[in-house]
Amino acid sequence: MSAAADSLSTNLHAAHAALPGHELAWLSERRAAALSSFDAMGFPSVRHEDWKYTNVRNIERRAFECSKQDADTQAIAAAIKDFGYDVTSQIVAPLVDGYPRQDAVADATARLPDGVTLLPLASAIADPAHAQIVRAHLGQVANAGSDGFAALNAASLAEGYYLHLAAGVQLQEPVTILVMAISAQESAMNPRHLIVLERDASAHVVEHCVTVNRSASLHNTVTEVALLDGARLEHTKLQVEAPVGFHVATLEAHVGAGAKFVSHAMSAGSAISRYDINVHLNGDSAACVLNGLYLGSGRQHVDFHTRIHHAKPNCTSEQLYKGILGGSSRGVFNGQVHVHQDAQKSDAQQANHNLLLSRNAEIDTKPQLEILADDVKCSHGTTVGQIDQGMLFYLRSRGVPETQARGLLTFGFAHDLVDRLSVPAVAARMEKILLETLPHGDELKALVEE
Amino acid sequence: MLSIRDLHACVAGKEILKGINLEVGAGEIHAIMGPNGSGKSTLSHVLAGRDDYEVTRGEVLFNGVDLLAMEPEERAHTGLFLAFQYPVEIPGVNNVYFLKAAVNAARRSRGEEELDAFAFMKLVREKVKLVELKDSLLKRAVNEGFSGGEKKRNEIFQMAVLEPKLAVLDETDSGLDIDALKVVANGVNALRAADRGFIVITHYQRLLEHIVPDYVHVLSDGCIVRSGDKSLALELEKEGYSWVNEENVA
Repeated sequence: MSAAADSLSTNLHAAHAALPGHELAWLSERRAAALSSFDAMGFPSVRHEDWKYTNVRNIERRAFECSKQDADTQAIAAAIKDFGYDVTSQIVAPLVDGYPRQDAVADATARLPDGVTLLPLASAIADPAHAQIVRAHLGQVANAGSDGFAALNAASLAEGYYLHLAAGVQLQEPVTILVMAISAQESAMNPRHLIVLERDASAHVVEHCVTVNRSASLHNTVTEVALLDGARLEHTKLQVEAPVGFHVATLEAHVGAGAKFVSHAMSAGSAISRYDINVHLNGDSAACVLNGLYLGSGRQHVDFHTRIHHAKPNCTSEQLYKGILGGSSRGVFNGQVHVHQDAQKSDAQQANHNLLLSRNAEIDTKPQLEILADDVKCSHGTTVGQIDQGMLFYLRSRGVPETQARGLLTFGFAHDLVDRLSVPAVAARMEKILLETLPHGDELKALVEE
Repeated sequence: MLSIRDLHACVAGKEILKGINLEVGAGEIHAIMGPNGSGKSTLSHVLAGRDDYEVTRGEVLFNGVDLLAMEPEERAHTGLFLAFQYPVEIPGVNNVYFLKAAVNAARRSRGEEELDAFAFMKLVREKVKLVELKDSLLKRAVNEGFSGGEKKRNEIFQMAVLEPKLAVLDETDSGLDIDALKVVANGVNALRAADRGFIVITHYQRLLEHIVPDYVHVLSDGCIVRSGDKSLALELEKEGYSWVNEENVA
């Protein structure tokens, strides 16, 4: 076993009996099974087909401890403000060093409308009104046995947020899970979020992942989403962690008949970043739209894996992923679509476009379609290119300096992904991150931010 | 204002311009006509600084300064404007952002204060009337999904905002119906000024009925083979370009 796996396994075995909800047999069993899977598998190697292009040796070498819950509430409140959130007017659920810290935003849940429940997962497990819902979905939506990271996460199943909307409830305001690493310790966080939308409910959830103090920590997170018939979730992930840490995430969504799951994912931070999005279109006429933007510079490595299962007829899926890679960064996009045998009239579209800003940047892109039904519409397209010289000359010929022109073209390449966000405040946040991350982005701020 | 002397230029090793001489004074409109492949567009691109053209001989002075030594954006800052024959579509780049970047870069280069959002929009509102460009197009991405006519109007609109000293219009009439042609020509005429020169590149005499030139030059195989006043355009229209070539040979 590697240093990291060894240390984390020891930690988890020691903590097992004290985890929240340990007295519940079903929960203890799920955790124990996951921990023995992790002990058996360890972290995935590049021999694992799904990890062929992403080498996690740099993660394995480190002796992470499980993170500690010791950030003080004032520091948390200050950090929330620094990242531009106002807890008096926005629904913000802070997750600090891997632990839900609603104590830092005392009245945050008071403003939730009837039928909306936002709780730390550990509280939901113990809440008689929600325990059964948690039991039905927690660790059931996502498969703990798929690889070492998922197993590691499932071995704790304790910290994270639980969001539940009762049937028919429409929550207009986005719920932001603000994931902050405040501790300067190199530690591992394994949060698990569970989002359950009953029939015809709708919500917008943002997972915004940031670092307060730079540390080479591991953020290994799993989000489970269960959308019952006719429900609608728009989920936005903004990952801007310090470029020294490691981010591994899985989002697994089960989408019922006539329900719709929309994902926006922006990956700009971390030294190694991996995001798996697995969607199961389990009911007739279920739909998903997956939008993603990955930005790499320096020696960053960013990997997106999507898997969409068209299990029933008349489902649609649409994917648009774009990458902007500079320096010696490397991007991976692997988009799988599986159309099951009885999923007639499936419509699956996938596009992946990449802009390489330097000679040493690299992208490995691979669409994978497996179609077992015969009456389907499936398409995929991939492009890899550089900044268009014709466009660059047009801008320069009008007097735009070359660096600013390159910045504008790069920004323009990514901007349709900002335009796809339905909540203006979330779109503005993504645009801001884009301007802060892109090369020459600072030269565009004065143009855009008015 | 502009002096082109013995200009030779190649594209991919093939010589396209073979010794162009042309003097354009302030307040003058020069039309350059010529058949396809004669080097008209090459000339406009060389003047604007496109880097896939190699100048092998000659010089171009713009108000006494060596134009060819400048980067494309510097040429724009000193007052050169090229209206493209095929304006480029730039997805995701907002027309207004882009134009503001261009205007403020030119102002910085002249040591002037940059325009703020309010002053800039005032300028835009004033100039947009000139070419009857729909307001909604301003907020869209540069030329994306514009019709042929809208793209050409957008070029003239940008010219109006940038207020160049010398404007080169590269086949601005191509792809325009007669109504759009009039709008574009009116826009150009409104910008005529004693301190501004124009080079109007076109295939057809039609445009010159609306933008009346002071001089007409015929470009053929990389050289100016005839120069005259506006009546030369009418002769060309009647006789065709073969007439010039035959005369030249004779």
